[in-house]
Amino acid sequence: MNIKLSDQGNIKGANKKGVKCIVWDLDNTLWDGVLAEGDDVTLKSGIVDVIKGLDERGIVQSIASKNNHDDVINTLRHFELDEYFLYPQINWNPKSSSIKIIQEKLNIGIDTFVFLDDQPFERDEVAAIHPDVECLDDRAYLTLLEKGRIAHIKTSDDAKMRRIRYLEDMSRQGDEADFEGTPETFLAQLGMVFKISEATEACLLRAEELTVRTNQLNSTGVTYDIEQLNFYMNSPAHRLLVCELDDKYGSYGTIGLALIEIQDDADVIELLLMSCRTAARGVGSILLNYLMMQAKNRNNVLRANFRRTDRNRQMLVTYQLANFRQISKTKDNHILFENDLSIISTYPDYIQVISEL
Amino acid sequence: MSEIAQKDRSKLYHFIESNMTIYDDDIEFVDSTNIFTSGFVSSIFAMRLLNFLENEFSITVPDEDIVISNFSSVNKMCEMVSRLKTIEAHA
Repeated sequence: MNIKLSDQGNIKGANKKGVKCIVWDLDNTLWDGVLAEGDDVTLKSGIVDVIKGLDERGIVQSIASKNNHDDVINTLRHFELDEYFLYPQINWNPKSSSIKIIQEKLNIGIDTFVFLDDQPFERDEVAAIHPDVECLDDRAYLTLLEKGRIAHIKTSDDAKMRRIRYLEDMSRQGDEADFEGTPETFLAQLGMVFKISEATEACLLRAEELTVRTNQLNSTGVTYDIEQLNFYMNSPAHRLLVCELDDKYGSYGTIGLALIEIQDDADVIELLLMSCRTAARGVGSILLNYLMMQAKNRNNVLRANFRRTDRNRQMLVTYQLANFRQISKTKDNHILFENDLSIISTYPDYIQVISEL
Repeated sequence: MSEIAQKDRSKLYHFIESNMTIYDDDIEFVDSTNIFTSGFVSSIFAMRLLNFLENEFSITVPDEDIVISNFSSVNKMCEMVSRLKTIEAHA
């Protein structure tokens, strides 16, 4: 009965997007018993394997629980599970608002969220506010790893590090909130190192994952599979570049990708994308700056294919304020940009750029 | 065309000055300074600047106005803001 209800709770049953985040309720969902009522709670049977299994697939997890914050944290520590949950929301607010906060903190699409709660009321409340969140009951954890939207996800080594990277982000953000001074001075003391290199066989899975996962900062919205990327990697007329970013907190891993076609008189950017995780670091314009310098060295102009969507305004701003001009625009919002390369800035002082090309 | 009040102009001036480190000490920053030629305008600063203008002046900057010539200096941004406010007032 419960299972049926939760299936119906998900209005857009057609949501087939790969799951990126699981939000757990705690009482009678993650564990048996109600913490605030003084119960000696015990973890649901087999649930640790599910949590670790999701983690290994690069799916991040969080908590939306109506409870006393410190009690929950102590209990999770006791179970040695506290490190698995990012931005846990333990408060007495509606769970829809907790999920909204988690979504904003993680900066990933709401339609990639799954929420588990034993209470139909909570599932309905979340589903009413966030119709794209798939809401499941407490028993659903038993089959979570076999679920299509989860089982079909291919994972790169980078994905397995995802939770660790987010934990590093959490300490970054704490420091950033405490930091007094301009955002640029904050960036300067991060000691950022940005590395641009040719894609290799070893990073193709991560590259494919980037094209599938990245929405806000993808210049064309086109996704590429491994075979296509492999073709471009070996094509003499193309260059496939990957970017890595490190700072004093750790490595962000591979966070950017660019596909360039080299023509006689022009370099053409077929795809430019940046992971949303690093959007706040302003590295998109640094990669673009690099591509501008490369084209200029070849005495080429630089063109870029771009498809305007309601989600990639930042990318449009990045292009247009780097002096790219629209030379054509189709009805389906496909734009061709061109840059005569008359204005190219130098890299900012707060980042060290290394290119092994 | 509606004029941008001096206090709004100052707010914009302070926003840029306090968000671009380059204007901290040696480089003088005035209303006509070209921010694109004197410093590196990162994508994230550009977005913040755009959000600041839109919230502060209750305007929406259309894609075709997001060009260097409209954002290069405090003066240019004020010109664009007052033009967009005029258009919206007549809409």
